[in-house]
Amino acid sequence: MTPFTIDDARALLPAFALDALDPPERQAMLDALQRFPELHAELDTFVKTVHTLGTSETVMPAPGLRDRFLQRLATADPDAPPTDAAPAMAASSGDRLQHRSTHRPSARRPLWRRVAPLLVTAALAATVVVLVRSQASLRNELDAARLAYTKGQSTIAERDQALAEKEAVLRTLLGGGDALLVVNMGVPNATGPGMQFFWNVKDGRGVLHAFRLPQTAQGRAYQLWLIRDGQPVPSRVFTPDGDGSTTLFDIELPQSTTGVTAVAVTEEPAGGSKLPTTQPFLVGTVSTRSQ
Amino acid sequence: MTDLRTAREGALLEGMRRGEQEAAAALYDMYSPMLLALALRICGQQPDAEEVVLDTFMQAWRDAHRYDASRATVAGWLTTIARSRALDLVRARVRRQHATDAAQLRQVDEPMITSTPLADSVLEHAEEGAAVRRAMAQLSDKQRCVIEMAFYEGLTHAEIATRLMEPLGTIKTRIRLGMMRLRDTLGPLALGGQS
Repeated sequence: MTPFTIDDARALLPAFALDALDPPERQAMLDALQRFPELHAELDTFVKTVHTLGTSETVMPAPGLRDRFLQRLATADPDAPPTDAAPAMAASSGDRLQHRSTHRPSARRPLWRRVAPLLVTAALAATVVVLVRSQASLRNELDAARLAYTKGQSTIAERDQALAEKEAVLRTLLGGGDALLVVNMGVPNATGPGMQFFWNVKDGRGVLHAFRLPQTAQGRAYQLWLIRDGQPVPSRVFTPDGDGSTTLFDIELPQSTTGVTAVAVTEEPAGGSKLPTTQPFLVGTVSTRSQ
Repeated sequence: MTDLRTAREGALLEGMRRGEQEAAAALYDMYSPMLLALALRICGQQPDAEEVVLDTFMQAWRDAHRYDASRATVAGWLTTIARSRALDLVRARVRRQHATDAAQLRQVDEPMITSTPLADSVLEHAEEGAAVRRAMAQLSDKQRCVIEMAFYEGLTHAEIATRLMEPLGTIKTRIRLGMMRLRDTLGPLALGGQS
């Protein structure tokens, strides 16, 4: 049926209030009332007019009728829920559909209309479950992405650190020019521990590259010494990597080799010592020839 | 409708919601004459009409909590229930007796004799009923006829057109104009204001 215009609907409001519309018209009217709420007030005036029609006459009932009512009242279950099978309680426009559905015997709601709310509820519940699972999955993916990002950042930082170290090493090695002093400790091509010590005298910076060092005991470390004027001068404390090697850079050193005759390495407590507590196991001689 | 009556009806409905049978009995005393007349007009038979009245008040007893004073007067609420039950009863009877002559059912159109009510509230209803009858009397015979067929017999305008062998558009127009005139004539009485 063609949807009602507001004028169509307004013209049929009195008949609607009287329940005098055919079912298709009634449905069209209900649709129109949803689209044109401004009609509700006018419909209400007709509904209340219809209410008065039933009040035009009175007939005194027989006294026995009152007794019958009281008897039914006395036997009624006060807690009984309102019956849905009873005639409609419609009293205004908003109740017209329910009123008519009980008014007409053939107006039972079709199965799909009774099941539809359940299906909608089930669909909503399923949607919620899917959304919750999706949210959990997205959260896991986000966490994984954050972890990967953190790892990536860490890797980048490590690489930046490595690059900075190499840059520092190169700066020390190359920046010294002819003021670079090289000291070899240990026996070249041997299987024992060995070290190369690079001293940029001009900048007062040094690099120590050690290899094949035995791992130190827990709480112990290696310490580098300068032997100047016959006295040990403490320098950096270090421990080797897993393969026994390490590279120390930016070691602070004097900008003059005066009085320095050797470099040495001892094993000391992890915090280092002011004076050697053990015998040096690597010693290299500093001479002008080393430059 | 007076404020006093509105207040009394509200108190009765409240009492019914609390399960007070005295309140239901008082409501019966106020409205049973009106509802019996309506039921007799629709059903045409005293036993059926009395059953409609009893069913109406029992439903009002059960559904007192559903009554909304902003949507209808108590009289309007009760007549809506009674009319629905009466029409259902008539339709069920018609279904059982297809051979029943419509003229037999039309006995309901015979005007009912209004007895002299005793209670003041019933008297007030009678005064209102007289106002409604006067308003109906101001309609043209054709307008009154189609409105009564719709209200008392529960016919749609298409069914009325068939019954009267008139064009549907004509019936629609009669219903619309008749109802508008009734509304305007009844004024505050129809809209629940001061009479």
